[in-house]
Amino acid sequence: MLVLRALSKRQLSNVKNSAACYQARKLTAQTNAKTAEPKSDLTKDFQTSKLPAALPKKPKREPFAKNLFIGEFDYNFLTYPEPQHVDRYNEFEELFSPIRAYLESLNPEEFEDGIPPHVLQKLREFKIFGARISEDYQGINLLDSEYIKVLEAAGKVPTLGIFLLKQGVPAINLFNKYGTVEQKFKYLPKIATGQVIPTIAVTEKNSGPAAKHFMTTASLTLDDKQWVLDGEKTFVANGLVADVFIVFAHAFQGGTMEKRPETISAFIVDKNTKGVQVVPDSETVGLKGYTTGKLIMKNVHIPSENILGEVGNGAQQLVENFSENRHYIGAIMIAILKDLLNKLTEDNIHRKHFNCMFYETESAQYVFTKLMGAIYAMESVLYLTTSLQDMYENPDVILEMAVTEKFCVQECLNLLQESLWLAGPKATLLIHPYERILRDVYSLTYSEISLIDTNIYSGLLGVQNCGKAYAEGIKKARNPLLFPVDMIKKHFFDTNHLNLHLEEYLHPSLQECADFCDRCILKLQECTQEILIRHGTEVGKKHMDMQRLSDMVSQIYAYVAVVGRASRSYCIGNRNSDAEIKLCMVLAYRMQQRVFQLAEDIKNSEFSNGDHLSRELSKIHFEQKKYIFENPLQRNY
Amino acid sequence: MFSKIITHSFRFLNRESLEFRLVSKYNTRYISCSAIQFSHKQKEKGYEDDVKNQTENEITNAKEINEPVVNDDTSKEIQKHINKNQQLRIIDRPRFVGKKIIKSEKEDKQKEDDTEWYQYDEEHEKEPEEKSDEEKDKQMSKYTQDIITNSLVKAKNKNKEAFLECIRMYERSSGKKRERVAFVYGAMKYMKEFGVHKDLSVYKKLIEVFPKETMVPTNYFQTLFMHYPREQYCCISLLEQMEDNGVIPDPETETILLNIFGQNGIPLEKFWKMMYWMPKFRNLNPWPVPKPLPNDPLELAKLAMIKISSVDVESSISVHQTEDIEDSIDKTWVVSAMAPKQKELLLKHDKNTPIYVEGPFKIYVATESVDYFILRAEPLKNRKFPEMNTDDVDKIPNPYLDTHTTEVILPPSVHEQFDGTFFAVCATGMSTKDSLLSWIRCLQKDNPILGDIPIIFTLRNVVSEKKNLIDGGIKSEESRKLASGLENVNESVTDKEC
Repeated sequence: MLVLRALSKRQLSNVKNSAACYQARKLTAQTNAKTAEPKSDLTKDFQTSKLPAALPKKPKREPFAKNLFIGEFDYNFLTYPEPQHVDRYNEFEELFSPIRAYLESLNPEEFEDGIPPHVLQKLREFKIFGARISEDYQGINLLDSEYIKVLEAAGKVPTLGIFLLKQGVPAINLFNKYGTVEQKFKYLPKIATGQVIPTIAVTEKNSGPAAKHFMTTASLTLDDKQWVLDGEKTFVANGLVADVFIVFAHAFQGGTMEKRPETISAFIVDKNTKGVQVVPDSETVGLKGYTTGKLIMKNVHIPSENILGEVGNGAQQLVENFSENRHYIGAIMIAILKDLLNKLTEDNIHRKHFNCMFYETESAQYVFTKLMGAIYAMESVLYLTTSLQDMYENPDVILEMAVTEKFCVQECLNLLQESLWLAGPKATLLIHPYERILRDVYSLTYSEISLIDTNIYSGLLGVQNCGKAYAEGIKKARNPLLFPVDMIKKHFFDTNHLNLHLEEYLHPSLQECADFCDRCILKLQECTQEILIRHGTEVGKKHMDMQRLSDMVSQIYAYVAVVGRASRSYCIGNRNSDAEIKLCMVLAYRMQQRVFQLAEDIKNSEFSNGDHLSRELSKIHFEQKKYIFENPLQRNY
Repeated sequence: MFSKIITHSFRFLNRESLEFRLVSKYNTRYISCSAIQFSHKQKEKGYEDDVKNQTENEITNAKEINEPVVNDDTSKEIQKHINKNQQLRIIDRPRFVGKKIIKSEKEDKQKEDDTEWYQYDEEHEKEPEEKSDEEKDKQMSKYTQDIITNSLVKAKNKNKEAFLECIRMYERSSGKKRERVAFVYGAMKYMKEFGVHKDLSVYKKLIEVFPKETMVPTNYFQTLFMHYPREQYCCISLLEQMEDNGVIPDPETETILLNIFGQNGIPLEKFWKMMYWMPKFRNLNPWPVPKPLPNDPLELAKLAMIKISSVDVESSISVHQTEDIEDSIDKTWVVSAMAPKQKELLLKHDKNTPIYVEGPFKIYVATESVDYFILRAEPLKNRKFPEMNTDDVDKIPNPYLDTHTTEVILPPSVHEQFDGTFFAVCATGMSTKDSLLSWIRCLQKDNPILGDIPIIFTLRNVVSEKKNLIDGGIKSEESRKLASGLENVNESVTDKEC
């Protein structure tokens, strides 16, 4: 109904006006950018084919997603960003188009037994291994938003996508941030030219999500010239092909294994050092060709300068690794879903359903729209997050990253389940690609990330922010008898409303959708406060509420990205941008409904929504360690 | 006396208050109650006087005609019965006469009646067996007494078969109608002795001693004034015994009871109450035990250890044979329970502070007790507890982003109590000091740190071993320590000796 109403109201005459407003805002942004001098051309001589320098970064802004929890909205984020200068954009496209063409021509079946050497060779020629390495070290220094495009293109073969991701992100981030100049000069050029593949080794047999309880140890030899490493690491990405490992271990400086100072540090270990052994993990269901391995180190001596950062820096590095490399996986998810959508279309176009074509039935149309919508939303979110990273100086986007990852993975899993019935029995046949897609997605989601941890983590980030902002008010609300006056004020004079007037920043066709956002953000803010009032600092233990908050904020963030993108597209007249507007309306409605439902769950409190009883039931279950209920036909006498 | 009777009749009347009001209005309480009471006295007496003359038919006839017809006071046939049967004659007479008769004729018996009514009350409320036993035995005829003495008291094989044989004997006997109440009471006493006190089928056989249909009330007033109260009380105490032993009756029992007492009988009420509650209680035990309970002490010990270690869901049970341990003297088994969390606590334990092996303590598995021992350390002094003001919402911790773990004070686990930190529990086959030493050695395989911690054995009287030691004299270092442990003198057994 709503969508229809919006459509009927739509007047194209409005387009020009608002497009003009939009252009005006863009112009001011660009003039701001121009005032800052572009980077000096010092590094230009190093290489012949060099992209134009990126735009200088804008000053740091307040975090966007975190502030949604306190009802603050930064309108800057509603304008879908253009992170590069137009010259750079064009040149990158030129550079990228042969790469894309090559990556799309690859046949996934070739990758069953590992990445074929000719592919690696081709990638070296394209300099993809140096994508995130500065030009000083023979890389091509792509922006994050550009690198995502590469990953997305490679993600058509998920094995290759994840291989590139693991090669290009975690280890190189650590080198870039913590490596000394010597270390950079020693390793980065080799990595950029593809001679050496780096990886990081974190997980151990019994370590949890925080990954701090390590049993691997590193001790200095008496002459202080060498570190001696001992221990085992599991699930080392690219373990079998990697040549340089960044190993996290306890740097021993006295104390015992049980009582020791917390001195986790990162060490660079070459594969051919004596005592290093890599054993393949058992075969995975999907992602054939991508290998993880077990790294076994027995009395490994490495020179003392091979420590990355300082002793005890490791914990910080791990936290950064945990929080800042999350969203890249979304690119692969998008690629997989696009692949699925194309294949489903191909298969269903000639299918009949009673006396009409299958694609004309409403049920099929609904699922196809949903698939389109999901991919659209995932793209919007992912490119918004990476653009923010590129545009602002040292941005606080860890919540955006977590939310992006969560949104992409969750949508991908849901959509896979919902759309696979369109393939019919073909979904189970080995000759069709569906089965491989299914396996790949499952391996990708379950081996790489824990969705629940992401949810709780992102919920906590928001709640922390809200707690800091409203500490005083919440303290009063938690102790109504100590602050009676405030309570009375709150009850009788508090008017909870939020009017952001988003429509002023959007194309008029999207006016209907703009209102959704106010209500959703208001709900999010109220729910967060309510949870804080109920549980105080114990909120971290309320995992279900944290997950709900995380769901809510991810829906709102996706909504902002989608609306901004559709508005921009329509204003600049991209192909099919009118369809984008329609899709945007559908998505906005669904997201709003989802947020309302989650808010309802939270408002109902744990005693109505089943959380409390679930806790009790699960306790009984674990006491008995098996399914506890009797057969329905069981007689007691 | 009077009030006793009234309260007694009230107990059954107040179920239906309307009826009660009706009765009290016409002031019939005294007469009716006395009549019933008297008739029962008569019945019992009559049994002894002429066993052979009175057939079952006569009794049923009398019952059938009993009240409705008699009150009409018209039929001549009934007049005959009245002449025959004193019981009916009394009821038949006008009320004031009835009163008189009871007082005059039975004046000397009145005291006895009093006590008996009183006993019925007691019997129903509490101590159904003890108080009434002697009385029952007195009332029991020689014949029934013989059956019980011969087949139950003097039985050689005290098993189910023998018990059923006794019931069969009684049912075969010609005088079976007479002393069924006494017989059932007598038989109930011996059930435990024969090991059939938890056997539903035996209870059903016992209930079936009562005749079918004879005692089903046929009219309103019979129901109101508790038809055949002695039989009903007897059946109730039988059901009570079932309840005490946790025997849940089955639908067949209901049919039997219905056939005997009719649907308004008090035993039926008791039965329905039992069927309401007993199945509900049946599965409430969080540590279910197999039925019947195993006799093997090892199995019992395992059950006991599972029970006591269930505070921590992670804990696991392991069974060791002391034969596998070098230098062990007692060859027996050890059931040990330990959780991973307890292992961690042991690792963190200060090596200079001793830990104690204490016991034996008792734990019950259903009706059996099992001795167990614990490995305990004194609670940490000055232990810090996590302090957090839940109102400080600007300091919400985010464990995913914490770079340090040691700053956080964790709340104590379930194993760290105010009276000590508990590392492990065990039960051994012999509960001797040596078997406990073997236990510590078994634990040491998984927890090498036990080798570095001084362990003190503080055991309470283990009688058998103490005797042995005194007899054998104190010879070795080892046995000296054992003795010292038994005398409650703490002495440390250090690393090497373990």
